[in-house]
Amino acid sequence: MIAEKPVWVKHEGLQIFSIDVQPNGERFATGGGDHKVRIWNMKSVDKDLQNLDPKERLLATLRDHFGSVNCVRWAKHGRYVASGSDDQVIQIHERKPGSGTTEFGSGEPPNVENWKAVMTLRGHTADVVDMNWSPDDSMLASGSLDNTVHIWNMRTGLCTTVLRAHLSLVKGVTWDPIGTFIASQSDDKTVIIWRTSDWSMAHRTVGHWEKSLGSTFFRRLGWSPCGHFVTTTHGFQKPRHSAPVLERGEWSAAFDFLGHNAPIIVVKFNHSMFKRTTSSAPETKRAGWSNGTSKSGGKDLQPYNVIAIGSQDRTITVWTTASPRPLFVAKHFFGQSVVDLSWSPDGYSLFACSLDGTVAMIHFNPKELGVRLSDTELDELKKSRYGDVRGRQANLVESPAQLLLETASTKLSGSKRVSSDTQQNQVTAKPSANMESTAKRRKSQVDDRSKTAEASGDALNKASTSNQASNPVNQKVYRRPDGRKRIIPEAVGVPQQENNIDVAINGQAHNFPPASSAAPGKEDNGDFPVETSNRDLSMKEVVVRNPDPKERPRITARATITESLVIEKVSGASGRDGTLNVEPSVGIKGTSSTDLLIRVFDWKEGEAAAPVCLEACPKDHALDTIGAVSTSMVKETEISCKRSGETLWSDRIIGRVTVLAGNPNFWAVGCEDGSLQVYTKCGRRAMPTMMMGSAATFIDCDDSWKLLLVTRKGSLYVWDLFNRKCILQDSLSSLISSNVNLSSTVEGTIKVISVKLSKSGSPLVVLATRHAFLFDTSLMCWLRVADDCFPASNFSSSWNLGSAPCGELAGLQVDVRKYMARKPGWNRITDDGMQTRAHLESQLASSLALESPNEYRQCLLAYVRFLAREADESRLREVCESFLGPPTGMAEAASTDTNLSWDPYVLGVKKHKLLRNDILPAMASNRKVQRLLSEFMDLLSEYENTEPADPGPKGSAPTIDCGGVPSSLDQMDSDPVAVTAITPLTIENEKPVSLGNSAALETSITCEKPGSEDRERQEQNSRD
Amino acid sequence: MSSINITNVTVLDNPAPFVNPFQFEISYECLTSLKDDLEWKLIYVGSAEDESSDQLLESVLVGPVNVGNYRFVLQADSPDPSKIREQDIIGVTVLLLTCSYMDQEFVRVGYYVNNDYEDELLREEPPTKVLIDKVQRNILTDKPRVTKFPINFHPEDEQTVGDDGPPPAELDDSDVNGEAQVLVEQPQQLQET
Repeated sequence: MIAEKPVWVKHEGLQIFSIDVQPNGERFATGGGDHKVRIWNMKSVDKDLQNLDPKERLLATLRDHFGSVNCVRWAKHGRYVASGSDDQVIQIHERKPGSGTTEFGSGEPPNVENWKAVMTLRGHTADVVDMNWSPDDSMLASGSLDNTVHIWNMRTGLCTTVLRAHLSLVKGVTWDPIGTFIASQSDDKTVIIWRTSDWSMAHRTVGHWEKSLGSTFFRRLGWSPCGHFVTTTHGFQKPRHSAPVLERGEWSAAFDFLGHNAPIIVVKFNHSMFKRTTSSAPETKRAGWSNGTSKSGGKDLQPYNVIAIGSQDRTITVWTTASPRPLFVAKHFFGQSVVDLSWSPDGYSLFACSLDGTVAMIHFNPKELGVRLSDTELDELKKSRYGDVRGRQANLVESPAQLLLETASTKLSGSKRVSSDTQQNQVTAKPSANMESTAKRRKSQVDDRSKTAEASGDALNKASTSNQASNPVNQKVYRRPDGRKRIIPEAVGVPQQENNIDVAINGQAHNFPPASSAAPGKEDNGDFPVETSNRDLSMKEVVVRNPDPKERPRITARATITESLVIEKVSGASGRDGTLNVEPSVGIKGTSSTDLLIRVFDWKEGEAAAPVCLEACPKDHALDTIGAVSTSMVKETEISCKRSGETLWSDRIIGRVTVLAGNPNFWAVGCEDGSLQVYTKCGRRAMPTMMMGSAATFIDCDDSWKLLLVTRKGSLYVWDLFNRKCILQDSLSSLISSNVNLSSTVEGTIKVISVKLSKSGSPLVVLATRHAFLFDTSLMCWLRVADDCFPASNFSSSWNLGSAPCGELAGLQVDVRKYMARKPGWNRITDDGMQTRAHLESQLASSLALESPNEYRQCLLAYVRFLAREADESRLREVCESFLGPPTGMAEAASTDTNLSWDPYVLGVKKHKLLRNDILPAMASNRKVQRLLSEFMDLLSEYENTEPADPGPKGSAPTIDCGGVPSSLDQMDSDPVAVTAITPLTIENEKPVSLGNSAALETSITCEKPGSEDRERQEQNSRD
Repeated sequence: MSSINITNVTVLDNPAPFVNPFQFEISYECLTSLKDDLEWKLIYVGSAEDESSDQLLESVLVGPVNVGNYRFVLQADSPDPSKIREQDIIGVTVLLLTCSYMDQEFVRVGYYVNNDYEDELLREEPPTKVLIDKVQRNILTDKPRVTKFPINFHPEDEQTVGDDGPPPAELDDSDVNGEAQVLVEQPQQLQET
């Protein structure tokens, strides 16, 4: 045994009322009569007495209380320390990142560690004298001189319950380690046991406290780690003061610890239980644990509790429940009453503090106390006695990391908080009219005070004056309407540059960036309902065979008059076997003169720049040139490309134009007779007319050189016009057969709403049922990415409903749902969980197929949260493993084998990053899976240790923030030089536009501003 | 817990002539966001005996109050010498920098200020009529006296505690600890810069 009295642990010479050791053994906290809480470094009181730098001893001084600090208690997870004070409040402190600060005016050195008060618990109306955390840290019980015990919810910081049964000051509270009860002791000479389930009083015990004399600061009772005993304080049995022990269940005083000469103030059980060893040598004791000697052991190996008792007689006694005599008596350590005790986490050190303002540490060795039971052994013991405690306390946090991740997950799931910066911007932008700037005058400027005063009205002066001083404070000063001066302070720690920019821009300029950046988003919002209502309209019109042109929300704005096609599978009897005959449901007759107009905005030149328009204007040549011979047969269409009224180029095509498409690189015009003409940007016919066999009904192009075409007969083509190659030729026929089972329409008939290139560059077909199909070029088959198979899924109705769809998949989903909602027979079915899971899984796969990283991440999060909620460990494990990759050792070996090598990136995002930032925090939402969580956290950190620095995503893979450059575009992306060489400047700036027309309706389509996502994508392209 | 802690106060332009404006660069940290602005005041104690000769030199609102570290410069005109008794101008007096939230003062920093003639001769034989332009002001910056008062920064939280909320007596108590007395300074004394 070694005893130690560190003289440097002090509270300005005043009383130290409380001491507590952090459960991880790194720090201990004291609270004193100087109103302060101090946090000390455990290394400085190490058993080995290896004293470190005195500056490192005191880690922090917390000055948040306005009264003596009576009690400090660490939470079990060690992240928080609670302190209760005479000022009636309880403060919860937490260590924040960064270095500690100095208390201004205190003259003391700055704190080593940055501990800050994070929560204030208000509610007591008198001094708070004792506190204890619940076993799972979710609650805190506090006893106060207002005769109550308050129970606090530590997630919200609110008082959940007040226990009022004591008739006098409550001076001690303790929590049952099983979590079923709490016990409180009061000056009314009773101990009350409360049920935690309903906070009813389980028992009021009157006993040996009856005869107790005198007053004590505290009556800090304690509950044994086995849960069986409650040792109380301040008992009296003639002629000695005692610590009466209550037994669980009966709650009657079973026996007393006797012998102190003055009232007992505090008792503290060791956190663990101990047992004797057959041999006292420490070596055998260690071996004994693993061998399970407890089985072979006899009575001697019965585990026992160790308890320390502190008294007003200035002594400390240490007892075991296996012996009637104290193991150890510490006298003459203190000049005044012992008021608090704390055991170190290893169970072999006892910390004590006294009203004389000093602390003492007593280090025992296993010979003296016995061998500590391991946590598992203790758990086993409790389990055998009380059943599976873990089951009841599934919420117990086992590591601080769990808590950190939980916070992260709540942040992720919570709606994005408007950043303070934005708020600040708004505030400054608004009062731009009366915004005044007071230049900050340093010493050198003071003389020309009047001059600067004049200038203060001039906002533009700010930039120049701020440059004058070496370290000026960038604050904004203005007068409120009521004439009071208001200062918006400078945020310290924000890069200086940002502030300068803030100041340099005057009110008007300030307004601009938010306005312009907000615009696309707003338009997205506005667009969607309009767009869908159009769609609704067109649905009706399918019936009357007169659909309306409508606008697509994509960059490549398209308007296709052949809104819905009826693709009929011609039966074998009627001619060609198995061939397809695509019939547009639209009446083509009587469509002779339609002007189509599309606009392309040049973004680089700003909003003012005129759009490029491509116009297809049918001309009835029967009257003009051809004459009577071919009146009914020959029609010409004039194609003209204009910019703000000025014609850039024009051409004439024989036949009626059904579809138009265009982007900065080329224009494509499809005709009724099945021909397709491709123009360069300047209107040169890039290649001979291509013959498709039947009229083009759907056309789309991407930003560079890819063109998609669907003919009336259901053939699908994707070309790379730059390399003059066919990327894909397939048919929509497989969709028909798959659709027969699902759709209510006539067998063999299928209505197509749209065919376009998805953002990832694969053909995406939306049928009238709103089922969406994506053609996977690697699998060479169609994938159904959006459908109505999961009406009961919890996510089918909540997914993005009410908010603007942020991604492709979400947009498709919303369509499906809107369509479903119109069906009369559709009912909401309650889900058994299976459908939700399946839905999420298919969503996840679909978003991966669509290569939509944001949605993928969103789905992944939802999926992991769902699995975590269901505590589906096997699926979670599989997900985590797939993101973790092969074991580190094998990873290198596997990398040589290209076929099996594990790709550390998914959609351009590092899998480990996803795992660390999204998956693991999402898993933290349910503590039932925390074992799995901590396992993967360990694995992940192992990986990160072995991994070299992040080499960055391979190739041109984008980050998650970008819209995503599809991998199928690699051919184009990998050859950016060639692309830009041909069309310099324009490739990043212009928006591709396509337009289809086969009806006699006038259309005017404006290519709307792209969503921010699209713009990012564009930027990504340009960066590549 | 105080939501706002002063981390530093630097007195700029010190020592300086009596008539120069005061400039305090105040750094503070905010631990929890507050709805309302902070009100900072600078008070010049004209006479030790008489509170009525205190001059409120400046009162500014600072906000928005978001979590983080911030700093700003509080500038205030020098006190009006006509409102100070002649014999009180020269000598040691006190300057108070206070901060309140929703009319509750929670921190007060006091500085000793020494006003004296810079000129050796004048110092030894002060003229009967104070030559205010020659008076040098020296704020003793190394010894600020910081006093904190417990106030409730989130009064609405108190109500959400529900039926077990504290009796009103406690609220009154904290109010007494707060401002009120200092606010006797009337706004009309506020001097525009």
